[in-house]
Amino acid sequence: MIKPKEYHMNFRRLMMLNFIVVIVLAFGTSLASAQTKMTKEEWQKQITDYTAQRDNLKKTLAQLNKDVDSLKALLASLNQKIESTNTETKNLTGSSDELRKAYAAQLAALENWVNELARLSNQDLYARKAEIDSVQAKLDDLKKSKLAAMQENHDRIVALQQKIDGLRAALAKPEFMASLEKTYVVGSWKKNRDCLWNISKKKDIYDNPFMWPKIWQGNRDQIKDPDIIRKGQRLKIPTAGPLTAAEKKAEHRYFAKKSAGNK
Amino acid sequence: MKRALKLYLGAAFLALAFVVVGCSSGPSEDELAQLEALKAEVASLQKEVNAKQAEKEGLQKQIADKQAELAAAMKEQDATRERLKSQQ
Repeated sequence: MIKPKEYHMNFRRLMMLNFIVVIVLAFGTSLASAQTKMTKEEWQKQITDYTAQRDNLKKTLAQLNKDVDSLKALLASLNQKIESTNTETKNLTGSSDELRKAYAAQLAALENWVNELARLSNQDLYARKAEIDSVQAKLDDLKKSKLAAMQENHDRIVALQQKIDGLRAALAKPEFMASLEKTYVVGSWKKNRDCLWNISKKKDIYDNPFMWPKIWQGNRDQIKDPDIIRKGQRLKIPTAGPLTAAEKKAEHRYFAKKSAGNK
Repeated sequence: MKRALKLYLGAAFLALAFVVVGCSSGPSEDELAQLEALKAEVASLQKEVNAKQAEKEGLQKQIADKQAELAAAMKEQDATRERLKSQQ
């Protein structure tokens, strides 16, 4: 049996507990609500910020559109200027497209020719050295045309001239001439009938016996007397061509000495 | 007993105050939607601005290239004139 005083105490405790629970729940609800949802002030601030951003972006976009339009106009005018400048340059020579094409084809033919010469061995190049002059003559003709003034043609002509000059320079080098020299190993008189006269007469040497002083003068280090050559001697065979002044002089000296000896 | 009742009423009032403060100070649904729309508009404008900026930069580069091309074309023309003069 609960006494009234005890009952009163229990009721008060219950009320106190209730009070605490209600306060905690209400505070919690209020706090949770405040944390998950923005306040009106925050909303207002965000609205103000985003509105300012939007206005700035609209202004920037308008300016950018203006810039892009003027850049497009500038680009179009540059394209037009480039085209008209190129047309003016083409018209400076007063030549038709057909003539320009024909000129370019002539240049291409010369380029092929020079490239072919540049690929030759020294022996072959020496044999065809006259062609270098022919190419030069044709190039000189092309240089006289107004079309030679066009940049693309001018560049090709300069390159061609450099190649031709390179071929000439190669031919003029002492090493080039040295590389052309043939050699001949002397056989016996008994078997081969080798003497300077007979060697010079051979088809694959000079095909001309009168060229013997060339072999003598080209081998002065090992031939003192042109009448005496020994079996096994390796003689240099200088490049074919008319006798030089020195070779002719040596020949005259030889015959003079010989005729003086005979007397 | 009376005191307990007062206390209870006070607590209830306090709790109500908390709830009222917690629930009634935020923006309305319409206002939130307005903010979201504004955010979306800003994002879209930002995208547009970036694209235009890129287009502008591309055009500036093209113009620089074309200016160089024009200068080369004019130089070529002058050189051609000079060569033609020297041919005469």
